[in-house]
Amino acid sequence: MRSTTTVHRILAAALFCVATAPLLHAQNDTAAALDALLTRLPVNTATEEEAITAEMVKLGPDGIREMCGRFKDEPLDGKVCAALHALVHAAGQTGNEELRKLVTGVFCEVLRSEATIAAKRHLLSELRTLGRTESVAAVATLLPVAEFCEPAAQTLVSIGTEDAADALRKALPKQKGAGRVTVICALGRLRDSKAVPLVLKDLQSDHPAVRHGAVFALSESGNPAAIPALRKAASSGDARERRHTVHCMLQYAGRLAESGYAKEAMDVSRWLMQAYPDAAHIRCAGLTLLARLGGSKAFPEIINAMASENTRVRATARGLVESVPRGDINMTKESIAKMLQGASAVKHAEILKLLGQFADKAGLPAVRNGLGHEAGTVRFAAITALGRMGGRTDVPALIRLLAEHKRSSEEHRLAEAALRGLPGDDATAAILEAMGAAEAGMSVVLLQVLAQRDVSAHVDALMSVAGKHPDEPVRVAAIEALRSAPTVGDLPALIELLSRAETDKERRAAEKVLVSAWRRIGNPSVFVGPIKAKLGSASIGARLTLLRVLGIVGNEAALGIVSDATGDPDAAVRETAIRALSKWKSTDAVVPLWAAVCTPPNEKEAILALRGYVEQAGSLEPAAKAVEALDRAMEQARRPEEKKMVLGRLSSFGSVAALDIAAGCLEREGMKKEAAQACRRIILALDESAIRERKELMKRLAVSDDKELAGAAGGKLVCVDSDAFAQINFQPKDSAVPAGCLADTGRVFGERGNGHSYGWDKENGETRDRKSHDDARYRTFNHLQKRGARRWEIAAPNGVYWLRVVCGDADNVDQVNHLDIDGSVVKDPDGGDAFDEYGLRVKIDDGRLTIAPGPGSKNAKICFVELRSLAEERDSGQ
Amino acid sequence: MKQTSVSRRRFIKAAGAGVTLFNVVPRYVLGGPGNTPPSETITRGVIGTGRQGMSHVARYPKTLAVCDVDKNHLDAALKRAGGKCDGYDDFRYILDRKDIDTVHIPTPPHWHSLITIMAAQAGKDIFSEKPMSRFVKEGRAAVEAVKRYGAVFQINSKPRPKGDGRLRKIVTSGILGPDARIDAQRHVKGWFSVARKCGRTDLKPEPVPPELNYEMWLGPAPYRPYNKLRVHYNFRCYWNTAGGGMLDRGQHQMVKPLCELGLEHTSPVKVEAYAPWPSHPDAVTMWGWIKMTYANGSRIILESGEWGEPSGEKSYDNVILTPEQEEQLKQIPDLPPNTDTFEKAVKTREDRYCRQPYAEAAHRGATALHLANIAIRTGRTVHFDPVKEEIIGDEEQNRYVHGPMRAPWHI
Repeated sequence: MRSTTTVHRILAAALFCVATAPLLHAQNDTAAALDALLTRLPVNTATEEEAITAEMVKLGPDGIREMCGRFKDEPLDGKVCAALHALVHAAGQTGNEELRKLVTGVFCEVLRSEATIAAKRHLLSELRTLGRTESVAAVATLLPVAEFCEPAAQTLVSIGTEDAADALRKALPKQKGAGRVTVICALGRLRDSKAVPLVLKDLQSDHPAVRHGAVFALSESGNPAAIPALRKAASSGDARERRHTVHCMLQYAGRLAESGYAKEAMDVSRWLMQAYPDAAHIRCAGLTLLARLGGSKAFPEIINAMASENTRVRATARGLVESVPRGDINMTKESIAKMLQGASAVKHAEILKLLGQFADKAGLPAVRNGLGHEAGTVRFAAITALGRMGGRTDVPALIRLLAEHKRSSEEHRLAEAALRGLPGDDATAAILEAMGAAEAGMSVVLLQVLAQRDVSAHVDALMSVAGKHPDEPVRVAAIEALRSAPTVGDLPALIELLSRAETDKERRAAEKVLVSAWRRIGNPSVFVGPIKAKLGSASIGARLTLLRVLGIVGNEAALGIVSDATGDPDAAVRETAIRALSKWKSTDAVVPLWAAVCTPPNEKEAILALRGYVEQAGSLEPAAKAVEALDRAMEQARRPEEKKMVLGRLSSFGSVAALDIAAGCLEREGMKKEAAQACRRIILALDESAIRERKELMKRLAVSDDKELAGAAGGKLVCVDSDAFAQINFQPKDSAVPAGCLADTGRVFGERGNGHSYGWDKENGETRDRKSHDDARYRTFNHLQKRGARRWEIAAPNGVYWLRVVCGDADNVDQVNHLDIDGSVVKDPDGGDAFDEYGLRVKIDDGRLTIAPGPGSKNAKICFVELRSLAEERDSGQ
Repeated sequence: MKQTSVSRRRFIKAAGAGVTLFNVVPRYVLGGPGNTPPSETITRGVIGTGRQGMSHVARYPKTLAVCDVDKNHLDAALKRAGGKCDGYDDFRYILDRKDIDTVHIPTPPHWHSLITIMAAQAGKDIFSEKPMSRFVKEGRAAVEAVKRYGAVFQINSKPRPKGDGRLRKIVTSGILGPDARIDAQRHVKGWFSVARKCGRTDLKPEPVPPELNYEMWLGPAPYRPYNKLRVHYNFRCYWNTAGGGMLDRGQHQMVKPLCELGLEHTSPVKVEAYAPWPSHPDAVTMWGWIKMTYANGSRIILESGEWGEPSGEKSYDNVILTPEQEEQLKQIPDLPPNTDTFEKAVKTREDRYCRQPYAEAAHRGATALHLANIAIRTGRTVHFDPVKEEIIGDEEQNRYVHGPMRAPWHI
């Protein structure tokens, strides 16, 4: 008999069940809905993503609680983590304020509950991006707990509001040791000025990490009240602490300036430089700060630093000069003279470089004086500066330097560069004038200088030198100096100059000028007319040059002129015309070239024309027309060299016709290799329908002696032939078998009951499933060498097959997968990576395909194999 | 004045000892053909001597000190360096040494920027492994420190294109005007090794092996319990220590497009990602492609080739100049080629023409990749202000720009 109490208990329990049934039912519903959602993850489209997010949101606070409730200990459920993370990101999106508050509300609830350490830490990290002011209180409650202090402090830093800083300040008095360091550093990251009075005493802490954190927090505060204490800390006995404090004080100077204490910031920078005069990097940092804070006021200090013996300081100062606003620096002759007074050679040179950089006319006297300085570095700097800021009046001095120094000397090089850079057209005129009076050698140098300057206003003068000067090198240099100058109006004169040129050198130079003008002007008609007018009367040499120019200009009128020239009585003219047609920029030249191919006056021109034709025909469109033209060229070609050229052009067409022509050459002596290469390239570009159309030819090519060709043909055949002989996946027996595959779980060779016999020489249970790859075939594998070298075999009828083998491990790169496949060794090309894939043609003549680790392999792993029949072995019965 | 008398016998003894010592002085001390004399040898300390770190450990006297928090790594490095190379388990000892000119930082990525900053503070020049940083603000702090202390910095990534390419010159010369649009794109596909660098979500806490100081290994990275698949090499797969294949290989892959498009000094204004949804808060996940658009209109497309539909994008350059602009371009001298070695840069104090990216360029490359990761992690497009280096209009995304750091470490 049950006691009354027991009856009451049962009644109470029954009543409770009745009362809570709808609640439990609802909980079960939420859990089931969540389970259903989780099975649908991950998704790949935005539509699915939106749908799932909407459904998660629909689950409401209960759904979020359910997800948080599933976090127990490490490792946290990966799918739940990802789902919750998705919700966090949906809630974090701008405009989703209500959802964000809902999610953070539940998180804060969990933080206050009895959840596991792992769960709370995880939610703190999610609040780092999602939390705002309303989360501060819940997060702050965890600051005193050692396990949560660090993530809670990080979250408050990210929230970054005044109440987050306030929470940290309030937590500080109770914190000791590592927790104190964490809170102090967090206040530092928040740049909390109000924390200064609380943290100052930590500079005297016995704990180095606390002192370290305090220095950081004080320096980030930007509060000038910390200056004396930080100065004291910067004089600490410990070198490492001193270094840290100095660095923090440099930051501090920046923060002081940001807080409006510019003067104090400058003082701190100067104090640091004075306190550490021998530390170049601190001087660099101080100067950088001064330049940033003080602008032009820091200029004198930067100038002084430019004279430093230390290369690091000099380089920094030089870089800083550029950052000082130019308008802020007022330089006068007097101030420059003052800077140079008593300056060392290094400083003198740096100042001259600076003057050149600023190109301030006030600096010209100092720069000109520098040309006569006894120290080379000063002279060099003066020449360079003069090139930037000088003018017409400086031309004689620079030419004098050219004359006085050898061409290989630094002075000569710099003077030449300075003449090239002198600003103003009057400087160009002065150089031209000086050139007229100079001897031939100097004239050439000056013309070379002019070639680098804008001479558009001096074309006539240069034409005159080019046409009349008695010395050939001067004439050539004058023509070259014209390169960037001639306009449309100058073209007739330039063509006239070319036609009257006496030497090849002059003609070549003139040709370059014409081509350069063509590239700049880009209107063919303004070239063709004057050239045509001159062509009849020009010397042979000039005609050849003009034909070449027409070849580059290349419009319809030019084509007519050059085509006519292929019938010229002069062989050199004909040859030049054919060459010009061969490089014609459109395929219009195909017709005259074919005419030249069919009616050549001699063998040499026939070959030239055919080569040009092949070159141009290969660019014809559509591709069928090009292949047809190349077929004609193949018939016309008599020598193997031209046939090989045709094959080369053919190989860029992925068409059946091109393959037929190339395959027709496979047996021709002297071009078997080229034909095989062409076939291979064509096959690789063929689409599936073309492969089917030439299936028989492809099968023949797949057993060709050329391995690369056979491989390409075999590989393509595999793509169109879907009847795989077998696809075997190496995997643990519990893993799901990938679609279309048969499983090998490491058993000894034998009939597997699926129509195939395969397996290992010994039991090989070293299968793995990494679960970290989307494709199940890549996820699973079996070791080939874990328990000694193992051999795997599959029975197959004799014949030729295409074999695809994938080796490797999704999670590790500790394998070198060399394989021995029926006695042939394939080598892992790169080693040390996750996967290796091999595709090769194999011939089975003993009824079995065998795969074993190859020599030099290391920890080889095999994921899956695909075997496809290419052709039955014709002589299998013999 | 104190005078010391030396007997003939003592003198001969001392001189003999000197001669003997002189005889056993190694060749590298004296210099000569093929040997740099000690005064010109740029000495290095190597911080982090794991798999990648070992390639930085040159023979003594180039390498004066090595450091690793894993005793096994440290022993192997000391063996390789030989000579009088010292070993430490805390990199700050290396920074304390006055005789070390440069530090190499082949640590896991979560240490790169922080050690760069601390090394610059100590007056060292820096050769860091990629990626530059773990989050954007950390990288900027490193660049500022390098600049401030006048340090030379180079990141170990694929080399920059040697010449001053046409497009780069057009962009950097500004001949098209400040608001010109650049119709050019670079498409980089493959080699990101994304699948290999995806993290696992099923790792249980394991006891820390005695040879590893896990606390120091973690350093500034947010705490996660130890598991051997989170540390050596595998740190690439978790957000608290790295950024997956995106950062690991991306820093290599960004070098060429950034240099060619003249974008080494800026960051994209918009970054879109195509990746499976949702991402995981701890473990790095897969992605398909990333589209980065810069303020001048030029774009960089990164494609993993390991997930999803292809982007269908290609590289192109449709920038056409007028004849006058072509002429203007010719007049602008080419920049020096990017061929300087780190050692040359240390001597000349100029690292802008190094073979590999200098601090600002490395930071800009890494920033673009961080933004790509933020787009993947939050599942939405990132709009970025490349001057303030902040994400525009998305508070949540912006919090990824400032990552968490464990105390007492700070930037």
